[in-house]
Amino acid sequence: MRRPTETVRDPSAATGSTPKLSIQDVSKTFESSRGSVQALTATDLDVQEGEFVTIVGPSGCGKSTLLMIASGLETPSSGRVLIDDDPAGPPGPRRSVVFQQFALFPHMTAEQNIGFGLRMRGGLTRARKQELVAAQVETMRLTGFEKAYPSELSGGMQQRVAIARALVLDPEILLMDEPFGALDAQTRTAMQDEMAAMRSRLNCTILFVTHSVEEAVFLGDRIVVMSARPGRISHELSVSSDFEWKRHQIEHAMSERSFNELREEVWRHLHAGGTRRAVHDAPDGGHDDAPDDAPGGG
Amino acid sequence: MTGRRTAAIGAVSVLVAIGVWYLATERLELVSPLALPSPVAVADRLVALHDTAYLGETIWGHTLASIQVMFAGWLLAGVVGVPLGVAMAWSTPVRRLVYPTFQLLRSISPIAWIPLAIIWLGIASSARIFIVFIAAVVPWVVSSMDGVTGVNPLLIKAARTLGAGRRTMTDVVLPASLPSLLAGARIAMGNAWTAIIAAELLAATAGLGFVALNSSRTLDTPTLLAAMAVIGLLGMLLSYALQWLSAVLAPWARKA
Amino acid sequence: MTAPEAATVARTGSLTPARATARNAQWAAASVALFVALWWLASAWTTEGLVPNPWEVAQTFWELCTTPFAELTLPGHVLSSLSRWGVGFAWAAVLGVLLGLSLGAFATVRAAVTPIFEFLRYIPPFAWIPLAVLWLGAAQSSAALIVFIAAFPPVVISTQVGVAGVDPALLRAARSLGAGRLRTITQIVAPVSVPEIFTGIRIAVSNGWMALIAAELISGTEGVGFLIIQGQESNNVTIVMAGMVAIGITGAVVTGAVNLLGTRLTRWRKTSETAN
Ligand SMILES: Nc1ncnc2c1ncn2[C@@H]1O[C@H](COP(=O)(O)OP(=O)(O)OP(=O)(O)O)[C@@H](O)[C@H]1O
Ligand SMILES: [Mg+2]
Repeated sequence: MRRPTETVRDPSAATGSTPKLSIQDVSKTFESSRGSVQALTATDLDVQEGEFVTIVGPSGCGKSTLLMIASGLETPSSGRVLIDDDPAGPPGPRRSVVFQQFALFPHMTAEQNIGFGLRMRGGLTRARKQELVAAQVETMRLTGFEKAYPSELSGGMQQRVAIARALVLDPEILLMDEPFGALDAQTRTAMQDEMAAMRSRLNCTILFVTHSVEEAVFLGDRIVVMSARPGRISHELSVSSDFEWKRHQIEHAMSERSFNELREEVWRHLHAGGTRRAVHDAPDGGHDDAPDDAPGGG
Repeated sequence: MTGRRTAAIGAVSVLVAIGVWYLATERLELVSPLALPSPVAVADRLVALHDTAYLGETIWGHTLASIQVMFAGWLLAGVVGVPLGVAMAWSTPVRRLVYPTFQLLRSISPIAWIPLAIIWLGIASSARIFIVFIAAVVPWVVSSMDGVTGVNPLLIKAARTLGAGRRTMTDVVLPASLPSLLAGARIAMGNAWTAIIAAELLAATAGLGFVALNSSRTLDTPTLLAAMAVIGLLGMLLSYALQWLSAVLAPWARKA
Repeated sequence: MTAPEAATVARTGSLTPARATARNAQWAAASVALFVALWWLASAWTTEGLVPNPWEVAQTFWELCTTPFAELTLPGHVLSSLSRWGVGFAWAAVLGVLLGLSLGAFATVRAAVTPIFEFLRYIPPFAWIPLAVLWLGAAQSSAALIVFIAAFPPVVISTQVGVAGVDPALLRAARSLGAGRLRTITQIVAPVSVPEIFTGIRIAVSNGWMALIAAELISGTEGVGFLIIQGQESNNVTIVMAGMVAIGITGAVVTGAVNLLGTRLTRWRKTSETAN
């Protein structure tokens, strides 16, 4: 079932640039005592360097499965995953994962959680590790809570620890599985704004799974819509980085017409599971059909 | 891993263990038969004991002696322990006056009562019933107390509004505390089985523990191991039987 | 916290914690006083020497602390018992956690060991006493072996339960952060299972203590169990009871120490969980 790289349908192949992360013809079937479940049918997805791709879809459509395969934590039943055109192999420091339920180690303090990956990696002096952890504590606004255990932190703080733990390894690719799904509405909004702000600082390619269409539209350069039974990508649409609301807060964006148009379009595809590709430009952008221009600089 | 594979590995592992035991004793004679007889010798002895008397009884007779005393002590502990536990759960004065002393006394191992039981009751079966009682009464009390206090007060209120009246106790409280009580009964049974063996090592003229001790004194290790095997099998059987009983009597309770 | 204690707390909920504790202590004192009174009555109403009264037991307890009986003073017997208990318990804790971890982590080990372990654990530790004496003589080591046999299974089972309960998301997180199999087990699985492991350790403490007393009753040459069986052989109920008091106190102290250790090692849990 392997497909040579040249025949990948993605337009990026046409532009000649190598995708940072390439998921090719990946499918996954889970075998269990109650029979087998096809979580994902043959799926292709390319993510360019610096791109922020959001994935939306109904519960159980295989979003987490796709992300786990991209991370190397789950092996696909068929197909392959490439990073910079090379087989991605087992999980490593190039890819960091932020999990659906935070997955913080309950017996480690915030600081110890953040430093865990550095300790596993080795090759760094103690002082350097401390320095890196301290820097993350600072940027994630966790100062004063370094010695707190996860059970002593609020949901928002726990999530910031989880993100810091992933970012401290300076990954090339950040994989996030509904990182804000377990937060209350208010904290969630704050984290969405924070994520948008953080993104401009990060030199990172991001694949971000979410349940929330607003979140997907607000954060993504490109939105991938998945549908269930069997799990597959049913639609993709690009969001121009020229939209003014991309630089504001999500509350503000929600009252913008272009934002709401996009949101409604994603909803339509979520309900219908269409296959057409669409491109959305800012009203004044005048872009052509090139949804995958690396948007990081925009 | 599939169930079949687990079973296969388990079977192989048991066979290997017995095989090593057999080789080490019967074939290679690595250990003295006085310390560890071969599985064949143990099996032979088990079969022989089935109809020849050892210390006055066949293995069946000794088993029966152990089980009778164990059941008597276990039942007595239930008959005393459950009302005590329920009383402590329902009445604050009773709980305040009895519970601290109960906690104090339970810190003394049941086994430590054996010398006292011998002085007071000699080596009659009443001494062993007493020891089994001491060992089994604690889980009976704790589980009935937990069971009753653990009943959701909303359930009792709901029953009252539905007009249950006097039948609240029999129709709501008892069934709701049954899972806890059955769990306690099972722990009590395990304790009772442990205690009867200990008591028989010190104060008995029959029973599996008595057989174990006497055979070891005469260096008759095949009989000792045969007795241990029967003790283990019966303990397992009793545990499974009570587990089955719990599932039948309180099918709504999850296995603890 | 057990349910009845929770009920007490709920009922005294309107009081300040300090006053509630004081009131509970008053009731506990009343309860013990009532027990002592009943005991005194029992000793007055039975044949002389059958049930000594609490005062006689207390006096004997004090005398045993200073004058040796069966070679040693009471504290000497307690220390002797504790040393054997310590050896057996330490082995049981270390090997039990190791076996429990491997049973939890490796399905093949689990499949191979479970049937044998399941059978052996149904043989009460006391049934091993004759065999242990046969193997090791009436020496210190046979008692330590019995403690081990009694304390090992609860540690194995609770560790296995703890490992099975570790959130798989934590394992995935550890792997994605670069932890190999061994480090995942030592740094994530084992510490996260500590609360369950300690449930087993607590049972192991009292099982081991009980088994040690039994071993000393049957084949001891010193220790508190030996002391009370010597008391029985000289038909001296007062000595037996004084020994039983020592057994109770020692058991409670050891359990308390282990509980303290358990609480310290699981400080990372929510306070509502540790109150268990
Ligand atoms: N380990 C597994 N074994 C068996 N089936 C699984 C396993 N993991 C996932 N599945 C099944 O695969 C399908 C996709 O699961 P997945 O977790 O990827 O969905 P999801 O889109 O992330 O859902 P959610 O939004 O609820 O997180 C589901 O039907 C699920 O039941
Ligand atoms: Mg998911």
